[in-house]
Amino acid sequence: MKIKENFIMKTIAGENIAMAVGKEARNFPGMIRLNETGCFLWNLLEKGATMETLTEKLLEEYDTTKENAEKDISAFVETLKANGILEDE
Amino acid sequence: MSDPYFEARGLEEALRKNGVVIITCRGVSMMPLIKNSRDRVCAARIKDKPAKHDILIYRGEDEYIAHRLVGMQGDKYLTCGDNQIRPAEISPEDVVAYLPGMVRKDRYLDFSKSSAYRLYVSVWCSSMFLRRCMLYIIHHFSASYKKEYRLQIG
Repeated sequence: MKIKENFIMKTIAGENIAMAVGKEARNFPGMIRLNETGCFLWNLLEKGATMETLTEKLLEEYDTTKENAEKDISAFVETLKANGILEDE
Repeated sequence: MSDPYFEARGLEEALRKNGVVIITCRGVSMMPLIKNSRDRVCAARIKDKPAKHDILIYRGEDEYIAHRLVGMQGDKYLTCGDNQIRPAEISPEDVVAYLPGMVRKDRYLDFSKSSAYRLYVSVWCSSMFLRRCMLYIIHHFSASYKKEYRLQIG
């Protein structure tokens, strides 16, 4: 999975904001606010990553259980998919 | 704050919840920086006193307005759209947000980092006479300054 080209993440007034630019903004005029972990996952997904890679990297960086990580990652990925932000490589 | 008109719009609620909101602007008063219905701006909850030349969002008579802070008049703020030449006086209590940046075409323009933006502000806000001349030229040659088209029947 990979973040589509026209989606960017910026730190605006201290908040991490994901948004669409260019033509994509017509379909997604809003924004998604990400916390630090969300940013971490977003950065990995910008380069392209599988569920397994995401889980692996998240566990390397953060103190949590595999079960928790998988649950959160799938919820995160589902949200991005529902908003048309992710594409299959 | 308790005015139902504003509450229905949800901007202040969204600002309280998220800190930042992305809005598509209507109107021409912030041209040539913000183009009507095309550009989206980022509004952030106001924390400290705004700085001169910040773009502020405040409660207008029946809608939110985004204009630039150009000075102080006693304890009031003087704001003026980039497409206007007469500042208006507003109450600091009516200010709900400031704009840290905007989305233009395929990129995000961070006002605090962009040197092109700073140059624009220093030229555009240097003198109202100069602005009047520049606006005259732009209004004459730019198609994007045509009137907003709306056909309404009945």
